[in-house]
Formats: sequence, structure tokens, C-alpha cells
Amino acid sequence: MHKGKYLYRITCIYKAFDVNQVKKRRVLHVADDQPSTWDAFNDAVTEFLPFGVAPALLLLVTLVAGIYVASTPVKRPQADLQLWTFASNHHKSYKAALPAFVARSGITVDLQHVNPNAVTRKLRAAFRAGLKVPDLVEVENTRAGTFFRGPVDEIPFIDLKPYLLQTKNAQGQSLYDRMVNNRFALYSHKGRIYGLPHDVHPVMIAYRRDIIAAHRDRILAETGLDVGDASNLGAVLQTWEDFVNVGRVLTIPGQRYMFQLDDSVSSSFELLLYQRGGDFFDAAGRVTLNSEIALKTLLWLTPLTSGTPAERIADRAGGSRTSLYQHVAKGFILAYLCPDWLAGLTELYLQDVAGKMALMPLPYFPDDARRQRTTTGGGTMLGITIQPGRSPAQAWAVAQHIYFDLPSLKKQFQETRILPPLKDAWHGPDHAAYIGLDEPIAFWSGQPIGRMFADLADAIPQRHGSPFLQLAKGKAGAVVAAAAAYYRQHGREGFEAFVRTRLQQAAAEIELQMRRNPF
Amino acid sequence: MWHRVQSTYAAYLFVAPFVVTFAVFGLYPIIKSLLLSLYITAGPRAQVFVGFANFAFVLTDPDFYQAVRNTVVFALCNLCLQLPLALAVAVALNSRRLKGRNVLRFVFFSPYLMGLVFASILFTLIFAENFGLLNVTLDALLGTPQTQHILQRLIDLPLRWLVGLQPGETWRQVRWLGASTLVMPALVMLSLWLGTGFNMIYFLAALQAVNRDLYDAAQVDGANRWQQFVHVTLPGIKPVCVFVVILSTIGSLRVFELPWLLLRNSAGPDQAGLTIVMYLYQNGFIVGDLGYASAIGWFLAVGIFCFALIQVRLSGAMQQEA
Repeated sequence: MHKGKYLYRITCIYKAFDVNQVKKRRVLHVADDQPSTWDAFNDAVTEFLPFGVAPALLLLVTLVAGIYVASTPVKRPQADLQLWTFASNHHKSYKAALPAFVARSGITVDLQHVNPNAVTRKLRAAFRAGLKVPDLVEVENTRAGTFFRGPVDEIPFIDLKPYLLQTKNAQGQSLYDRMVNNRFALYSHKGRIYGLPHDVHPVMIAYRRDIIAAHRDRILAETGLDVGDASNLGAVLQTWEDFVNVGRVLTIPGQRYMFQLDDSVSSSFELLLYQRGGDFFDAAGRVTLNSEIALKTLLWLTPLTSGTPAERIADRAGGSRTSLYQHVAKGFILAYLCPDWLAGLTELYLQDVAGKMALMPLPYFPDDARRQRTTTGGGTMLGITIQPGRSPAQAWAVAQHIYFDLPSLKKQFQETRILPPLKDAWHGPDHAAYIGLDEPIAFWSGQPIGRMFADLADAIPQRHGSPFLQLAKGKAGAVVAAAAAYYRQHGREGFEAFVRTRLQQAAAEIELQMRRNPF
Repeated sequence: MWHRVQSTYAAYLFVAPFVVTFAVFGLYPIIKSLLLSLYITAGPRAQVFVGFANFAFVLTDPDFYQAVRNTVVFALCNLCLQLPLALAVAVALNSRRLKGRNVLRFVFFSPYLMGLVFASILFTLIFAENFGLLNVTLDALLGTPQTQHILQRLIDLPLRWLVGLQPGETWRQVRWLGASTLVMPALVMLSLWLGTGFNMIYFLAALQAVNRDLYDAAQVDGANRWQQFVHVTLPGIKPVCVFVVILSTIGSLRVFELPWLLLRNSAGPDQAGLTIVMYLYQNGFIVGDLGYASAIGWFLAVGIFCFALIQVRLSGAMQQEA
């Protein structure tokens, strides 16, 4: 066959997609005196493909693409164990730490960074469908409890308590005793510990030292408190009353607020609730959202965010972290509740105010005999999944390495400012110096923030986990928002009764859902 | 012989991909969800048969009622604001006297091209307090009491009351996503911005299909523009209107991504942005109770079916009357 005819046939197939082109072509054929070739081709095609060339080509393309995709599966690294983490900073830290472990033990680990929202979804779906699940997985504290809803023997994580008790140091102290015990409650259920705490997350207040120091004379004149150069504000502002008084001096409605508190969700409320010794659930799993402590916390917090200009010292600053950074950088917000992880992010994203920021322990509530000066915010657990026919020993070895290995802890603190829950790391002279806890940090006006967090860490309040924690936080957030709306509209009149009723209602709604759980 | 085989089986071959896909991803999940709704599932594996208890609990669940209320309000706002607006824009852009109408058509349609996720993230910044574009613009337009013109003062007070601003607060402090009363207006605004142009395209196509001779005849009969619109345009585009109303209603009742992303993976203050699908998602994929989520899903499906049926019947009855 003539070479030009091949080309012509290809052109025909191409043109077959477009009816107008085909018509033009036919006219052209007449003009070129070559209509018979097209007609013959078209007839031949119609004979074997009654729906025409285009559907046949689409089918062909689909088949070729399908066969290609099926025959070239995505290659996953062949590893002995798989580890999922949802936090990018954790991922970075483990990526750096794992090669040393692989070299030492010969156990290979496939580390995967999974979207935080996808972790629980993918994990639950994989468990349900009986698919392969990671050997180790990090779960955010609020979501952790949802895995503990079923019967104990169907919870997909191993009980870590025996491992924590059996793993001992040279002095014979168990790992369980060397960690912050208050942290285990969050990941425990019916006497078993399903998660290794990644962190302690003590909370301080981060503040714009430069702006507060610039108003030293006014603060002294109006409150009698001398903040000096504001580098040690924690020693001057010991109670929340002091803090609020200074806040009233520095707040300019609509232009500057002393503090960031969110009155649309539960985030700020829960940190202050924990500080006062309250919680959403007690050790027995009963709802305590309607406690007197919760009521007192809301009665104190709401006027600060939603009161008259004379009462108000706080703003929600847009309600997101990105927005908070912007508000702090512009001097619209002077101080905010800052867990250790947020201190790390602040250093990363607020470089404009490097050297102008400082940290102070939380002031205590005047009616709190314990004089509690910290709380805890956030948290992550590492769970080891139950794998039929496999010993969790290798996974436990990985967990120990990434959570307790000194070079890993050092890297973690330097990159994220997250304090490890292993108490040796704070007090052991070799450990603390190695990790760099006592080093002054220029960003924080030369404060040794690692030491400051460590000094507070052992006093963090105990929090109790529950399969219904997420629900309780949502309900608490609704009460916080409703209280703020009420106070903005009615002020103090009937406020206490309103908050009490809403808290009781929220607790009743959580109990209603809990009663449905047959396990 | 080969030809006969072809004509007998070719049709089956071509419908097979859809049938198989539908059976696997449509029919099986429907049956499975019906079965699941009869169980309480807890944790990744455990499940207990409870009969119709999940359906009974839905009817007593205050959160479900709040989700229904929010969803219906959103759907009504969409229907009552978005569709008339889309029609008005389509009529305006259908005018032959309008210069640059193709550009304007693209301008109105372009938000839809942006995609829901990106638009939601963008609007979290636009709605942000103190430094967000919307509040900064409002502040520039309405100013502070000290700098206000008499006209600004006249509209300032009622507007401040409407958005819940306190004495001493500036227009920069409107809490679009932080106050339970403003979450729904913010959602509707975003939905208007996203969906008006999309619905406009349907109306535009329908308007272009209306026979021009009818307008000429109406003009000869002395009908003014409004009369032409009511008696020629609207009857001409009625089938498309019914289609758009049904599509919009179903889309609004299924709303999920918009509030979920705008309110940063939450139901917002006092659950003001909680929708039915969001509540289903929370129960099924966060709490892990797939049984209860399935029951909610069935309530939603039946609700949508009833809405669509009513709308079709009403439009059919109207057509018969016409």
C-alpha cells in the first residue's frame, strides 16, 4: 500500500471524532477524487464496530490505561514495620532518627506521613475491612478515645502497661515510673494503657514583651505593679486578677487586646478548666462538664471576651493559628496561651517579632488553694496495633527509639520545642544539657524556655480520655458560644442561671449518647 | 453470524461498565447501609444488632434536629436568593445591547471554576476579623462614629445591630465565623458567590432558546418589558427553572464541604453550621458509629426524595394549569 495511504487512514480515524470534519473531508474527497477510500474504511469500521470509531477508540484507550495501571502497581518500600504519623514536625524528627535505629537493629521501618483527618478514617476502615494496618500509629488525643468504644478484647491496640512496667533502666526504675503519670489517663481505658504519650504539653503565656515594657509607667501608676522590662512577668503577675488588671490598662477597644481567648469554641475554655482542676470526664468515665468548676470557669472567662469595653481584655483573633500570628505581629494581641508545641511554631512563623517575645507561667486563680500555674493543651499517643501472628516486640523497640532515644529527643526539642514525657530528660544532668533545655533562646528574649516548661511539666493536670471526648468538646464549645452570645446581649443579668442550665443540658446530651453504647 | 452476535450483545457490552460500577459503588453500598443502620457499631470491629433503635434515636436526637434546621434554612436561602439572582443576572447578560457580555458571563461563572475547597479557604481569610477583606472594606465604608458622614450614621446603627457589634467595637470586629448568628449568613454569602454563576448558565441557555418571534408578537400587542418577562420569558424557561430548583434543593440539602471547610472542620459556634451530612460524617467517620450514620443517611435520602417529589408534582400541576 502506498505510504500516503497509511497517513490518510490515520487522518480519517482522527477526523472521525468530529462530524463536521468528516463532512468536510468527504467534500474534499470528492474534490480530490478519493472518496472511495474513506467510504471503504468507514464501511469496514461499521461492519465490525456498529457504534462507530469514536466509542471503539474510547474503549481501547480505557482498556490500555486500565491494563497499564493494573500492571504497574505503586511500589511501596519493603520494610519490616510501618509507622504512620499525622504531624509534619513528628515526621521530620522520626525521619532523622530512624536510620540510626535501622543501623543498630537491622529492623527496617516504612515511615508514612498521613493527613491528620485521614489517620482515624483510614485506620478504622482498614481495621473493619481486615486490611493491612500500620504496626505503629500516632493518633491525636481527642480522636484516640473513639477507638476504645467497643468491647475491650476488640480494641485494636495492644495494652502497653506490661511493656512500660517491664522496661527498666540501670537503676531498676520502670519506664512507667519515669514518665509523667498524669499523661497516661488520656490514653487509658478500663485499666489498660493503649497509647504511649508523645508529649506533656505544659502551657505558659506567650506575650509581647516589648509592648508591655513600653507601658511600664502606666501599668505601675494604675495597678501598682512594676513589670520592669517585662522579661520576668511571671514573678509580677502571680494571679489572674493581676493579669486582668494589667490587661485593662493595655487594652484599647477595637485596636489592642491584652489576651487571646476564643469564645466560639471550647479551646480556651478547656485549658482554663484543666488549670482549675476540672475535666470533661472523671476517672470512672462519668460526664463532669456540668461541674461547679466548669461553671466558675465560664463565669470568669465570658466577661473577658464578651463584656463591656470596661470588662473586656480579650479577643478571639480570628479563631485560627495563622490569624493569631498576624494579630500578635501587628500588636493587636499582646498575649496568648502557649503550649510547648505552639512555642515552636511561634518561633517558626513569627520571626518578625524575634527577641520581642517572652513566656510566663500561667497566673493562678485566687480561689485555687493549689496555686496551679500551668495546664495542658493537645497531645498525641503512639499505639501499637494488634497484628495476628506477630509479636509486638519489634514495634516496641521502634517506639522506644523514636520516643526515648536521646539524640531523637534533642532533635525534637530543638526543632519543635516539644518537651518529652520522660522525666529523666528534664532533670538528668547529662540529659538536660544534651537536649539543650537550659539554653537561653534569643527569640524568647533570652529565656531558657525548655527549663521553664520542664519546671511546670510535672504539675500538669490529669486529663481523662473517653470515647466521647470529641462529642464533649463539641458540646462544651456550643455552651461557650451560647454564653458569649447571652452575655453580649444581656450582661450579668440571669447569666449564671443561663450558663448552669446550658452546661447541664450539654452534659445530659452527652449522657444520652453514652447510654446508646451497648459495650 | 458475527453481525448477529454483535447486535445482540454489543449493547450489553457497552452498558456493562456502568452497570458493574453502579452495582459495586452504588447498589451494594445502599443495601449495606440499610443493613448497617440496624446495628450500633463501636470501635473498628464491634457491632450489635439493635433493630430500628437507630432510627428511633434519630427522632429524639437534639443535634439531628439542629442539623435539619440549619440545612433547611441554608436550602431555603439558596432557593430564595440564589436562583432569582442567577435569573436576574442571566436576563441582564442575555441583552444584546450589553457590551462585553461574554466577558461578564465568564466573570460571573468563574467563581465556580475555582472549586469549593479553594473558595472555602479563601473565604476564611475574607471573613476574618480585624484584618479580613470584608471587615476592612466595611470599616472603610462605614468608618467610626467620630468620622462618619450623616448618611453613614443613618445606616450604621441598624447594621451594627444586625451583625451584633457591641459599643466600642469597630466594623473590623464583625465575627462572621465566630458568632452563631452570623455563621449562616456567611455560608449563604459564600454559596451565592460560588453558585450564582453556575445557575446563571442554565438560565442563559434557556433564555436563548425562547422563540424571539414571541417577543415581537408581544411587542406588537403592546406588552411592556415586565409583561414580556412574565408572560413570555418565564413560561418559556419553566422546564429549566424546575430542573434548576430541584438540582439546587438536592445540592443544598446535601451541603457538607462548604461549612466543614469554612468552619475549620467543625460545626462552628453553638453548632450553627452543623448540617445533616456533616452530622452523618461526624458520627460515621469521627465517632465511628457507622450504624447511626447510616440511619441518618436514610433519613436524608427519604427527605430529599420527598422534596423532589413535591417539587416535581407542583411543577407538573402548574404546567397542567398553564
